[in-house]
Amino acid sequence: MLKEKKDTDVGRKNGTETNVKKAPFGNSISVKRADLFYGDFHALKNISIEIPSNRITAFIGPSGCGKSTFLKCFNRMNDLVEGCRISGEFRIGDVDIYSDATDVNELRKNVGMVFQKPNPFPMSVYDNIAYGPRTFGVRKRSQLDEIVERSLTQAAMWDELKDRLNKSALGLSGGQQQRLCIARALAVQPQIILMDEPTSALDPISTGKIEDLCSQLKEQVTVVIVTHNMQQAVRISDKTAFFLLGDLVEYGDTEKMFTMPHDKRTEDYITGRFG
Amino acid sequence: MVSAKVKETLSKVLFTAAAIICIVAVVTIFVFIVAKSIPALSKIGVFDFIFGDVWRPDKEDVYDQAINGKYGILPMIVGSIFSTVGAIIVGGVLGFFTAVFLARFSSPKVKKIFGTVINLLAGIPSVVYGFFGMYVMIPLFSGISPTADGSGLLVTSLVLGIMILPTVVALSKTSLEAVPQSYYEGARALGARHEQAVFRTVVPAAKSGITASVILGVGRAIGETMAVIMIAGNSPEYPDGLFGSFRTLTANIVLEMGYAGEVQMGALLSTGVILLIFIAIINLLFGLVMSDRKQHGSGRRHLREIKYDFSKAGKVLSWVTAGIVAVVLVLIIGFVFIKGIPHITPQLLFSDYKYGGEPSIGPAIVATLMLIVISILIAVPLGIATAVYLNEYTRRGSRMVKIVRSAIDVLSGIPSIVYGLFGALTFVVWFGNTTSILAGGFTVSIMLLPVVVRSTEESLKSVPDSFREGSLALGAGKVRTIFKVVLPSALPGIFSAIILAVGRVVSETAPLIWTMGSVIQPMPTGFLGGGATLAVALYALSNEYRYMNEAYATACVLMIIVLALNTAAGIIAYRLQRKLQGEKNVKRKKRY
Amino acid sequence: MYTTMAVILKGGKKVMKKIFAVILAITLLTGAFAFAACQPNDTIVVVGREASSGTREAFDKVVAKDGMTLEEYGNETNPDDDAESGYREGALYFTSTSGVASKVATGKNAIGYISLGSVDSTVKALKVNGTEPSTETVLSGEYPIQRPFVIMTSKTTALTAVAADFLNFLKSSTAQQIVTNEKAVSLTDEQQRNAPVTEYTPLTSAPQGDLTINVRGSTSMADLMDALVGKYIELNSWMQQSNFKIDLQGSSTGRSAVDADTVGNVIGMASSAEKADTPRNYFNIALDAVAVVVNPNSSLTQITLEQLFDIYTGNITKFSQLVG
Repeated sequence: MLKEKKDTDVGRKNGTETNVKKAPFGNSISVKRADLFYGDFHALKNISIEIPSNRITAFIGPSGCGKSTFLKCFNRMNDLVEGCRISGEFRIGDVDIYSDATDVNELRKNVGMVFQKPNPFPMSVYDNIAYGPRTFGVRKRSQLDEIVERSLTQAAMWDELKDRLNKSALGLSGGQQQRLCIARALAVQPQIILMDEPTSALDPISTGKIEDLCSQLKEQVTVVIVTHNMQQAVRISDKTAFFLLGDLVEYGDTEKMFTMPHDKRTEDYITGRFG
Repeated sequence: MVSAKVKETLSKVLFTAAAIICIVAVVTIFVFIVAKSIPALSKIGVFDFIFGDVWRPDKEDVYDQAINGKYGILPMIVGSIFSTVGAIIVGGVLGFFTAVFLARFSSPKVKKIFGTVINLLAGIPSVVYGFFGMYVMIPLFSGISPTADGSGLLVTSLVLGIMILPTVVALSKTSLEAVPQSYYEGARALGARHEQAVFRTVVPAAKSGITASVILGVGRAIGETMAVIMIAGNSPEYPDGLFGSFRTLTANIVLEMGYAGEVQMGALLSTGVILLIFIAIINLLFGLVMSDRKQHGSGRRHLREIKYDFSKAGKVLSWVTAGIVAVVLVLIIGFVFIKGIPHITPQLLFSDYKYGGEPSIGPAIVATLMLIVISILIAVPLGIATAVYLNEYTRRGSRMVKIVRSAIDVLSGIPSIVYGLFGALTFVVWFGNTTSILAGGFTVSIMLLPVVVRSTEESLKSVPDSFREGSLALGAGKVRTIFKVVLPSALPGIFSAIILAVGRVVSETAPLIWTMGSVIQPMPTGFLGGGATLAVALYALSNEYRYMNEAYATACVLMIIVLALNTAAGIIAYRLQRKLQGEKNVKRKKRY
Repeated sequence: MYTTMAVILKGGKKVMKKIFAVILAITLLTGAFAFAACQPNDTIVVVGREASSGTREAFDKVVAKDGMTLEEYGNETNPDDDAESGYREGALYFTSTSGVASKVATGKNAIGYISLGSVDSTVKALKVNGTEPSTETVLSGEYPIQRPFVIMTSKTTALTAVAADFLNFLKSSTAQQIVTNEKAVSLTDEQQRNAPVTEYTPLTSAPQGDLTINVRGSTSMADLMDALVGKYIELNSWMQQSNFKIDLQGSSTGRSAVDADTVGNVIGMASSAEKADTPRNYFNIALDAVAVVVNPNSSLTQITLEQLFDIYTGNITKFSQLVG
């Protein structure tokens, strides 16, 4: 019976039923002339980029090049960093996300995030998934049940976890924890999901599962993924952006970039000749 | 989402208010005592007061006439410093190594039993330590003392050292256990032996918690009164070697407060001021030491560490100190139980007390519970809120945090006797001008604040930032993140803080005598009525030397109650941990 | 012993060896202490009460040599001595009877003074100037170190009906019975008491007004007052235990509570004599002997006031000096 449910278009069906309000955000990202400083350090320099909807965009580059920092601008997680100043125009859909009128929490609801290290909360699997919806006012048990099932199904974990919903999430394996975090992010039905090196702490099988998941997800959401693994970028992304020392060096279709990079620095990096 | 915004702002205001209340409490106590001591200080002369050799008050001295008495407290200042340093040497070293032993060298079973017993120590009222010192320690040293009596600096340091053990051990252990296992494993992976990994990786990482525990220990040692007046000798002289009568600042207050004349009372309050200044200086020094280490230390320290590897000695020391502490524990607990168990009778425990009848502590048990309820209701929410403010709402290292934290450290250092003075002159006056459970509850609550704040802060620090990020990234506000993710994760730590607090309520005597009641009383009639807690009852029973057996029996009852509390708390904490982490993780942690 | 040791060592566990070593070290240390303890040391350990104690006041007023009491010695001579008010350097001070008694019970060389009512088998009371402390010798005045237990009420505020009735009870022969039971010395001489002994008739019903009675003052009188209150409630069934608010923090708090009484329901207690020009109404409910006590194992059985003076001022520091 549960299988049957999975076969139907659960996402859309529940989307209307559970009344999780769609916000006025779109699912494409547009950035113009962004600069970011940590104190005196100029971490991102004059970056402009258009990230298309329902595609996977990968950010690559060596450590410290600013790609994770840039990613965190999209859901304003950089607000939490002391001494971080941002200028430029960040739009998601038509909304300027740094304007005073923007509700940060509403923004983050629409722009989900998955972190480098799996960070499930120290509570049950069920409560982890239900955390987001509860935050936005869903209280009814039946609705929450549906959301949990839908999210886990979207993350392809329902069968694995349906008997362990009340067990602590910290008891899961690393890969499971990371997919649970994706499911948790999906529970509030975001239009964009940011992934900050989501597989760097995982084994190849778990990595594979998450990559598959990403490819499925782009039907519904825009995915931006930061990765150190260039094969991964090639495997899953539609577009790739290469960052170096706070500059956006090159941005384009993944296939093109990895076969015919415009910039010498990009070429050096993707061929492993980078110093 | 206006309501959410209102909620956020409201919560921030509340958390900030809690922190401000802490500051206000400190400032009030400070101002109050300083203001009351100014007339005496100006009469005596600040220099003569602090650097005078002779303490010989004259009861008849009044402010508007020339004074005849001598009011010099330098001998007591020296006495307090020496005995506190001694206590820190004894208790700090024993406590630190015992904590290391429990956290990283012992088997889970030993750890569990040992930990329970050490927590038990926290529940023993200081009067009992006084008797232990007098009946066990002093006779032991009397033979080798040139004065033919063991009283003095040595025994005082030893007893105070034992008294601060639970504080040092409990907090150090918590922070040692909070060090991520990956640090330890990283060190082992580099080829370090177990003890090297522990002493050179885990211990430095737990430094701030260990320091905090020692600060609290210093506070307790310098503020201890009831035990000290039984073992120090109390003569207002400089401590003369390891033996010989001397007096501490707190003893000075309690010895003369009941009968003091006008200028004398002012001088006693001034003694309280000196104590406060003391505490402030200690905190300042600790702050300097800590920041100095952070700024310049690491390079130098590395060289030193490579030159001498203390880890092996540390390992041996851990075992040895744990052994010594075990022996001491058995001695103290044995002492109380052997003296007390035979005299625990149903009559003593359960009957209501009748004036003129047989002594009974039934009412004291009820009064103790009532006091616990009040003080927990006040101190725990306020303390947790302050800790949340410090850890979640402020930049780490900001000025506000520094102010609040030093206020809290000062609060933790204020001797309980000074709280007693304060409570007697404020809460007692406000609540109907008689001693009452409510007045006692308020007084004790202020005392508990630092304990709750400090330990809650430590456990909040141990909640990984990734939890907070995860919650915020889901669009949850700060308040929701704090209440639904951060606080629940910190719950076991907060729980142990509350237990520590309850232990302190149960065993405190000095401040309650002046705020809650000084004699054995019938069943309390309400929160505005007076009452004696078990510890006060113990003091009152022993006071005239006529109900010593009942006093020891009361001490036993107290210890049993503390044991029961600890066990219950342990079970709840374990359940919580299991619920939070999943069975697998808890088990894995235990095996290690 | 050897077998356990062998078993432990054979167990081969380093851990066990270490524990054993620790135990051995502790044993040796204890042995050393025991050895040292065997060395004779007949230095007298002087134990007293805090400067403002009523017990000490009674003691210091009587102990004298060549016409100078300890109290006068403390007030007038060597004011720059760093010992407290005339007592010798290194004297031990305690805030309670139990402190002094415990010290004397555990210290072979200790000498101290406590209320006669608190003397039990753990300490030995000495004859002073050849007189045993007892009810008779206190009443006759033969035993020199004694003090009155004083009951005080306000002179300026009229007592409430219930407080006045309680005061009547305290002055009665019934109360004197309790005094005897509580090991204090019953005092009936009107002159000495500053009040006659009356007969008390319990009230059949509660008197008008608030029934609260505040009892404040000396801790030395705690047990006595406790028994008196108990008897009063027993006699007057309308009186509740909770009507009594008892809070004892020393004689001077009793005096100041009486002075501050504006309702007329404070009964003050002091364990040292009221001065002739006292601003309070008072009477002496009982006498108490201050017994000079030593360890039960001490060979000392008696002492003179002169010797006590010398011991407390430090002229005599060894027991051998007492014999000679």
